[in-house]
Amino acid sequence: MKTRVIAVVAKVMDVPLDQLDETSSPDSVENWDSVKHMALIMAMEEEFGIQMTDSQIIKLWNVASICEAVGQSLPQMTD
Amino acid sequence: MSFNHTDAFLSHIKKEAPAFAKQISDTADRNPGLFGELAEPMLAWACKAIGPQWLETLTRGYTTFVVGVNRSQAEYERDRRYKHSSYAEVHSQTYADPRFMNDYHWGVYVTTFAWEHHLHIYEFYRDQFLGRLRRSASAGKIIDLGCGSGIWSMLALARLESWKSTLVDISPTTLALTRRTVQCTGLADRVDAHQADAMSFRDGAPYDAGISCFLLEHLESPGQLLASLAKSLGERRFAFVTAALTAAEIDHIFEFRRESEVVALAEQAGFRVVAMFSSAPRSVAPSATFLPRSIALVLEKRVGEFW
Ligand SMILES: C[S@@+](CC[C@H](N)C(=O)[O-])C[C@H]1O[C@@H](n2cnc3c(N)ncnc32)[C@H](O)[C@@H]1O
Repeated sequence: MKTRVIAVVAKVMDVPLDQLDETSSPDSVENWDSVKHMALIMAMEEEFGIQMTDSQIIKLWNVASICEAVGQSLPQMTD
Repeated sequence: MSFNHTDAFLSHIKKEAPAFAKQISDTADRNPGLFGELAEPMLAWACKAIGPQWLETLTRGYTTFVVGVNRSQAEYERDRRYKHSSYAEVHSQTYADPRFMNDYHWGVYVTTFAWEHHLHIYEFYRDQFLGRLRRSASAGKIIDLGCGSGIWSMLALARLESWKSTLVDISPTTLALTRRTVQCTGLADRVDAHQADAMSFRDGAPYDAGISCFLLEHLESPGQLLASLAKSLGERRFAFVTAALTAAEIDHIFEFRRESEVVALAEQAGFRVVAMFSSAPRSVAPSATFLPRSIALVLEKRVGEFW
């Protein structure tokens, strides 16, 4: 999932894949402002077929926290 | 050194919502004098009105508002039209809903200084409208339709010592918060606030000046609001009116696409446009069809058809 999240970040922020990792954040990626942040969230929602809540969106502060939120929003796997 | 509300707010939002802080810091960095001139008194007022939770309340209000705005704009880019067209529908989901309005109230408040293109509207207001009021009379009364937090009136009264303002808003939640803010800021004796529909409010007319900021796009017939505003003003009096163009929000129903549409409505309502400023964000996606922006007009009430 991490690879897919980073691929979406790279596309939305227009940054080469190899410049991104789990710690990438608005501090390290110049284009990452509130408009891009929402574009990113909506791209994640489309990529993973999920819907994030406002409070989740506001707290996301780097790639690792996005991976975590995407994980929480995915339907739980049952056996 | 005295407590600096602006620094406290910027560091709080940076910590709690970093993606949202960047735009505000950029606005501050690019407009150092102007940003502080507006942000510091506004934050000090909000701090007094809200109390110890002011940083959390403002941050939650602003971030929730911005999430909603950006989602709405993305949907608008996709659908090419605003989501709602019925005022009654919007009213029940927004202005009449206390939970929604609490965040919305403070969210809109923060955008006044946080969004660079709105900060520039404040500059235009200060120079082109308040300057004119000061030159036109030493005292007078203002009518502020769709006042929200009352910020535009508060900024006027802070500079024009002998003026008063009548605030009108349809939302009971907003009005309660605004009354408290006005009390805490020492302006209460120069303000009276009414919960009413701005479309028909005329109590106390004629007024010496009018304000209606970011209300037109919320209405099914904005021309009617401008006509009502004109009727409330004395001859040759000034009004300050703003509107959002191609900027979707949950409660925007009238889609202005060009500046000339707002100008034409103002002229039809009996005004002459004295000054105009169209203000847009610095950056939008190159692929965007719409430039979400705001227009501000200084209007003079005409006496006859042409002047
Ligand atoms: C975007 S806010 C603008 C608030 C304020 N003028 C400002 O610029 O910060 C719109 C305001 O219009 C109010 N409103 C909507 N419809 C109204 C109506 N028919 N009459 C009076 N107020 C109305 C809402 O409750 C809200 O407070």
